[in-house]
Amino acid sequence: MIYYTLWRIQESAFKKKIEMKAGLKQTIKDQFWNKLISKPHLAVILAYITVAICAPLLAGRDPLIIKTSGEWKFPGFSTDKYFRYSEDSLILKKSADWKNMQAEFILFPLVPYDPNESDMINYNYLSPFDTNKMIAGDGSTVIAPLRFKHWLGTDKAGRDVLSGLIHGTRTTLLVGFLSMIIALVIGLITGTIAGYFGDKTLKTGMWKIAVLLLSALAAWYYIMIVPEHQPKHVLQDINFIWKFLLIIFIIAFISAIIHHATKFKTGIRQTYIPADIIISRSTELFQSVPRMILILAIAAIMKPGLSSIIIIIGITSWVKISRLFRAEILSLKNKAYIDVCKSMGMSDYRIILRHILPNSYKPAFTAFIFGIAATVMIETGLSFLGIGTDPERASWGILLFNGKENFGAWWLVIFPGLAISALILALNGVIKNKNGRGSRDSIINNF
Amino acid sequence: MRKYVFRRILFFPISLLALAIASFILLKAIPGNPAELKLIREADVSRSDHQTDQVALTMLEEKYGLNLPLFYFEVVPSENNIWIPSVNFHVDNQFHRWFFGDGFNNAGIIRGDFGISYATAQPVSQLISSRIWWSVLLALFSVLLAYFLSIPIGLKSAASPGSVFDKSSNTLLTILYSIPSFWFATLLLMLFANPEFLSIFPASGVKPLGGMENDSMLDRITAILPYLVLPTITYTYSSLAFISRTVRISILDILRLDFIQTARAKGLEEDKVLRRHAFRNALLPVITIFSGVFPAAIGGSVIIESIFSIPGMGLTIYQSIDARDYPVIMAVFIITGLITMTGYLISDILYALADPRISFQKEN
Repeated sequence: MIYYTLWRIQESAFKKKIEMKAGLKQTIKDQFWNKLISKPHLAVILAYITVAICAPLLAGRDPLIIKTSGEWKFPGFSTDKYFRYSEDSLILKKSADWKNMQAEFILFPLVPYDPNESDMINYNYLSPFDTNKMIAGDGSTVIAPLRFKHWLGTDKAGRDVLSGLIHGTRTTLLVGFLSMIIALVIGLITGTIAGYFGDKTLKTGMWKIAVLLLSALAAWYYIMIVPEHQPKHVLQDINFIWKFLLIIFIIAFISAIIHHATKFKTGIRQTYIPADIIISRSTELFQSVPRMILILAIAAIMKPGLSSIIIIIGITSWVKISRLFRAEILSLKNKAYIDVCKSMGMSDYRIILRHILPNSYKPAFTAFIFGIAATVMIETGLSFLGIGTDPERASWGILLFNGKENFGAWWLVIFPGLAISALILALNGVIKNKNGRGSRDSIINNF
Repeated sequence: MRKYVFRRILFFPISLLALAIASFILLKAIPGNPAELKLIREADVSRSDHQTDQVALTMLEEKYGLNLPLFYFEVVPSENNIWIPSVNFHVDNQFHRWFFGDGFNNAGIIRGDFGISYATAQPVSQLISSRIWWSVLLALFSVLLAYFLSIPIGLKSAASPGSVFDKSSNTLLTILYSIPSFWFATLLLMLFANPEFLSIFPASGVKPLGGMENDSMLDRITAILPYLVLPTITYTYSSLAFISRTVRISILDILRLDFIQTARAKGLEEDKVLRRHAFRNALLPVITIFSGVFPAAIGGSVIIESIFSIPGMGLTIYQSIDARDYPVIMAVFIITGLITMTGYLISDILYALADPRISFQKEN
């Protein structure tokens, strides 16, 4: 009988667990999928992401599949410089005349042009309605078949606009996602520390701070200064950012060692770390300079390129996320369930990771999406001004800039602009509008 | 309360000093020698005497103090052993000269002298005051215009949420909000300043070429006005969406409160409830946006100003960073920082005065 009762209890507990799990799934479905996400906007964003991922398949100079002398080859997918046409002839891919190549089977990408490739005949602002020409195999100029048409025209140098748009999607989304991830990580850490610990919670021994400061100075000296003065140093050619991350890693390592070594010691004189003051004042410092000026100044320091743009946008947009998290956590901190957690003796890290952050996913998610929308605008604006861009890389802003030089070429202005606006519109609308805390309207005003 | 305000004011100069040092370090980290860039810009093509160039470069560097060490101390490896750091102290350095002045022709920023621009050789304060005029004019005018247009829109859509007007205006404003300003500006230029299409407005600049000194005030205004139409539209449209949204949301928030119920219950007309009771209380967040106008005006809008070639602050900053014209950029950093921080300080203190809970929370 007793066994039977125990078994029943166990069974009911098990059932409850299953129910709870199903409940969680249901909650996610209800709260997140049905109430928060707007499906049409999500579809647009997914379409952009698909284009970005498949960009090399959609637009490129080299054919995807070609069959010559009985063999199937995939020049579009390989990174070789040469293409083996037959057993005894190698062709440089760059100078290959794919359009007139004798092949048993050939499949081009949807747009058979590279974004930076100049079309030697269809240059000087070919409009989408003009007839496209091409050089036939015997050297005569003929009207190009539809497969080789520039569907959205070309710019002054004869670069295909559609191909640039497709590859530009990749650049823009890459910059948007990666820079917002950087911003989210920095903002989340600083905002959580400032909001949860405040000024009078974090306690530590004075000497620990002194040791950490000294080790930070020493790490700075040996990693930043010594390589400059010593020829052939291991760290000579490494980027500043990586050196900086290395220093942070070393300091974290030392502090972890100190923490574990002195875990059981008591009676050390302790002092408060005013985390909130430090972080709030530094966010204020960051916000006191207009963002565009800050971006321009940092862009002047770094070498132009994609990674620089990502880092610049990332490190200038953490401030708002940090403030948002601070406010969010300040409001969650005094809830009753957190007091319960504390009374059960949970550590701060457990409370933050398991109970506070999961409950603030909504503003985090919303801020992330709006941050991407803002980043898209900044990235295209920067490449429009010609700041920090890699000329080799296609970008919507560069296309627009080319359009500004000749207003007769309306296709260079309309299409990239539409692409940018539609993406931003989709990103701004993907989170359904609701009133209340963490809703779209209360956060969109921050961006 | 007093303690909170005192502490807040105490932090102010510290923040400013931190801003000054941070902006100094940030700008000095930019590679490129301003003296060399200036020489290259002004170089006489026919002259190719390397010796003279070197002499001129050294003289320029000495004039600007660029040959001095950067800061009060620097850490370098000691001479015999690279692993042991040694600290060199310098009394006369670039930061000291910039901050406290060098004693004869530069008084230092602590006395309000921002130095002399490397690029144009005119005092920075004079340069900024001549440039800031256009930025402030455009920002102020367009923000006022945006308020003028967006408050009625916000009021009307908040009066009947879910109505046709509310939905359509919301959709339209969301679309407007999503259009990047540089694209909008380019479209405007393409449509209305295009000799091949419609050439109604001039494409760039803020005033006609040639002297206007002899013209009367009215003539001047009518001559300048067409130049300002397209930039003003560009400046206005994005803040239009933003402000009317804010108005709508804050009014809807207020309309849920009890005192609105009371106002309705005592038989007040809906129009009066909206205008007298809801709108006045909802005005605070709307006014808060206004405080952002002045820093934005000083920062200017780099992109819009460079599209329309407006000689405002945005274009100046862009050109100064390009020419490594440190005194100008640092002046901009300091001025915008000062204004924004003062705004924060005042708003924090006012909030604390208005709502004693804030300072109480911060103290405990």
